[in-house]
Amino acid sequence: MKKKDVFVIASQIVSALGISSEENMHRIETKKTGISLTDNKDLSNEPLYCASIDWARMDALFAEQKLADEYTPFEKLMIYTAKQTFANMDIDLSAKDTLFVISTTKGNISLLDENLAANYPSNRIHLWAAAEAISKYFGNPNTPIIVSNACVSGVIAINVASSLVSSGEYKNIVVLGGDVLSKFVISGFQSFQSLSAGVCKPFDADRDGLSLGEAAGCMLLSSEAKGSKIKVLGGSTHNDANHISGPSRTAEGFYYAAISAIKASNLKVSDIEYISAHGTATPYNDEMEAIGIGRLGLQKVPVHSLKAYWGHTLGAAGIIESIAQIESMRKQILLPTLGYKQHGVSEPINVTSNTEKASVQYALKLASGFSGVNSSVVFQNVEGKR
Amino acid sequence: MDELIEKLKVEIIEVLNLEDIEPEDIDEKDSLFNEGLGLDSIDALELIVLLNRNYNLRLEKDEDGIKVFYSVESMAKYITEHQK
Amino acid sequence: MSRISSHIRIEDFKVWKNDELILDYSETKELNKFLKAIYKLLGMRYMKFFKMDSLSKMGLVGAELLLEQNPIMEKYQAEEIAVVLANSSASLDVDRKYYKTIKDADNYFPSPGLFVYTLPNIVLGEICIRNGFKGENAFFVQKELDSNFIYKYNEDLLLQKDQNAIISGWIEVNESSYKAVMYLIEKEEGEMEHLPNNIKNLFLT
Repeated sequence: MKKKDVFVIASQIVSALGISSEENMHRIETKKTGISLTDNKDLSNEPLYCASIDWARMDALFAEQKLADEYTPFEKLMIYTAKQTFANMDIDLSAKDTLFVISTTKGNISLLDENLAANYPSNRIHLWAAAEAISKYFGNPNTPIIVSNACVSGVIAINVASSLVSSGEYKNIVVLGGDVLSKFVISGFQSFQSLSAGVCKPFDADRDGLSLGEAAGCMLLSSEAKGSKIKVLGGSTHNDANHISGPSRTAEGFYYAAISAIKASNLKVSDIEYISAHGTATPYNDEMEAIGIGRLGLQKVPVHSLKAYWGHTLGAAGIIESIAQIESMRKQILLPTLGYKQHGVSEPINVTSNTEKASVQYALKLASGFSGVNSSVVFQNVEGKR
Repeated sequence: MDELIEKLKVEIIEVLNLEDIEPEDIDEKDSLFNEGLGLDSIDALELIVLLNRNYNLRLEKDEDGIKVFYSVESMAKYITEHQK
Repeated sequence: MSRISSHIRIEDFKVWKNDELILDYSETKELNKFLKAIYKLLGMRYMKFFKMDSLSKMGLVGAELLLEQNPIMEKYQAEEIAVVLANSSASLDVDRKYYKTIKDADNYFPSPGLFVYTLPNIVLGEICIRNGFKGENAFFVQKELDSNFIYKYNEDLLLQKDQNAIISGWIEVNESSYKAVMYLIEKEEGEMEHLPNNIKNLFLT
């Protein structure tokens, strides 16, 4: 069967930067970070820099939407973000040809606390139970697909959804990714000593680690364009076969993932005009990506990392960062890398420091994660000029 | 310090899940991270936790983790010097 | 039509390869000891094994069993060998163990050695590192195995993504409850056809 085109027909972001894509994009374009020093004993014994959602504001919005307390904060965040995405769309979420693909690393992990867990239906610590609660809220009849693959989950989710739309198996797919801050995750990264002492600095010579954040992102993919000019072309995921918590020095998986995604998109490497890196601002990650971009021969292509705005949002990262890249393509701008002042990687890659006007057609999104995994996806703006 | 060295060997084996390794198999002067045990970055972080949990010691920012954790002997020296 | 060239099952303290019982460890009902027995049966010498959580250990020996006497790294390029797995509890088993290191304020010592395993896809990484596989990876969480989905996902990798071999299956570990069914898909080797029904049958006890 002929493969169908896959369009991104709607999207939404809820994060420390705001409760809509517009709010988020505005803060990014004006280089305002959502990371701040937080002193919250529920999250961390010591104060730490992280990008927290304004939960007071969210609770008011949840109440407006009558999102019942049977849903955990994580689930409400996901449901709310998805709801805002469909707000002006004529989509039948109860249709058999509509599917949910959900991306998260830890879901409702806070429910390991038995006192907390007692407030919610049992089993919601399981990702499949949380995902079902979310998709059933919308009356969707299909079992959601859940991708839990560390920090590349969001990109894999986009790729899985894209394949299923392209094959004609589903007409519309809701790609929904999210993670919330938790003591579980924060304590773990603290034990790794991999957190920055301040707001993270991707690709910068003084970078000292990552900042954590929380967010949800939703992308609606469809075989019907509905006026959209943005397509998902191809994607891929490859392993470094090197170490479970540190990247390959020669960017093995990163390189194969990029090459394979570009090939699956029926493009040449030189067609790529815009890159959104993983750019967590750890010494090793950013160096690996620079080497990978060098191996691809794409040193001159404008590349950004958005981690200094949102922090590293784990299961949401691949989705919200893709949405930002797509939105910037529509607006014909290139996004700035907050936190980058002095080049700090061995390859002369072209890290954008300020918002620039440019029209591009083909963009590459990259992500890397624990277990040595690297994912990529190519987006096209059919109205972009090469 | 000999007692401490023996105690450390037992603790290291336990905390790093070094299966089928006995304390007598570890030479306290041998490098922990290059030959023999071939420990990696996560093991190094676990040793930091060991120092904290069992000996109530934290490395100062300017202290060299590489020197302290070079060998069992260097770990024992550090503990002896810093414990009250 | 691609084929399943070998399959294994680890359940009830027993190990089967291609439907033949190769280890019966039912006298000692301890998962950790059982996994070590499989490791020794395979003649493995891989110190990292002992640092892994149960999910990763099970995946590692499962892959080792599948690949015994089938050196697929000699047949295919590293970047053409994929690992695609699923389960129901994600990494909950080790999540609980890690949580114990942080839940008491008076005994707060977060363990990096445990935290690193609190993602279900780490088992994919361990299999890839052990064997040098640089191909596609994906980890899915499902209430029950969705054989139609995993079949299509893997076929897509073989037909569209230049993958020539895939280690796939289900590895579920949740305290004392566990089950692993893994299979190796190759394009032309093997007697069993790679089809959803055959995958489903591999899972039926």
